[in-house]
Amino acid sequence: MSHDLHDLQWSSFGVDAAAVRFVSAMDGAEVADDAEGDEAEVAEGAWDDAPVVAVARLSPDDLVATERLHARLAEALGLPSYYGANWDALLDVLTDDAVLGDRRAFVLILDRGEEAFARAPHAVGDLIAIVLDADRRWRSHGRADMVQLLIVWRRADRRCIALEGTDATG
Amino acid sequence: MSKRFRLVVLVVLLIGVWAATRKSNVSEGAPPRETPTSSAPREDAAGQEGADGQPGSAKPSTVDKDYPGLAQVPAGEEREAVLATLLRIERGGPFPYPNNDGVVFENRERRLPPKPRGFYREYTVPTPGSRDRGARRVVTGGQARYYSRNHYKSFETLTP
Repeated sequence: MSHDLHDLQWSSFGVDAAAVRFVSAMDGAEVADDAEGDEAEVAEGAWDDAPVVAVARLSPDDLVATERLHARLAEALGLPSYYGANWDALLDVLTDDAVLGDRRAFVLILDRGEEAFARAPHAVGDLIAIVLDADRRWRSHGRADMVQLLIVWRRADRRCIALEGTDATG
Repeated sequence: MSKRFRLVVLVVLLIGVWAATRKSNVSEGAPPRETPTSSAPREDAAGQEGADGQPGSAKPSTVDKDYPGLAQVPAGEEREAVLATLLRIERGGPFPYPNNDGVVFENRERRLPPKPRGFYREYTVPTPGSRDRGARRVVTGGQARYYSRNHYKSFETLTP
């Protein structure tokens, strides 16, 4: 079963918002070295210039076991001790200025996107939906790109939406 | 004529005094036997309050009617904080966290009855002494009121 972008029902997630991007890369740290073309340079520049953000890097294994996912998110994002480790709790903390603190944004990176979609399609769908909800709420207060989900796609694909045009510097 | 009248008055008074003392003796001597049916439910209610650790935290009867599930919330600070949030909601604010209070509760975990998107709204129940918003929330949906003390892990139904 292939998991190209066009196989997925994006419309059901409403993934037209800028909050979810598909990064064409083998491994985040190797973006600049491995990938070719403008996308890679944009990606590299974006990371270099990025202000301090709260980053959580997730693997397909994390998406399969949601207790593990929430524990990982709590640790990586420095979530408060009351964090309820459920989807409703995640949306709550991702839209809380006090949880964000002096960091500029929450950035979630989902590695090996194809594998995550194949093994845990519902969890990935929930995660995308929550990020989009959170993004919408911040935007309603006039603040864009406060929650971002980067899904790292192993295969270079013209349909992949790269970091091009993001305003990580802004 | 007036002498006789005074005597009658005196006799009536004496009878009255005797009756009053007799009655008070009876009621002092046997209160539990005298009103067994009326005192029984009161003792039960007092026992429940005592188990919660806060006997006699009086609240208006309308609150009992509007939020019957409030009795499940431990009496004292927690119940008062939930009630204060409920009253803020009835008044329409002002709310302590304007960016987060009144936002849509998505019910993504489906721990409340499934409803169309936008049906539920949520409000922070402040935790005293906490620098963050804490784990406590009231969720509303139509006339229904729910309370979670553990960041949406579980809910008490305050008003069905």
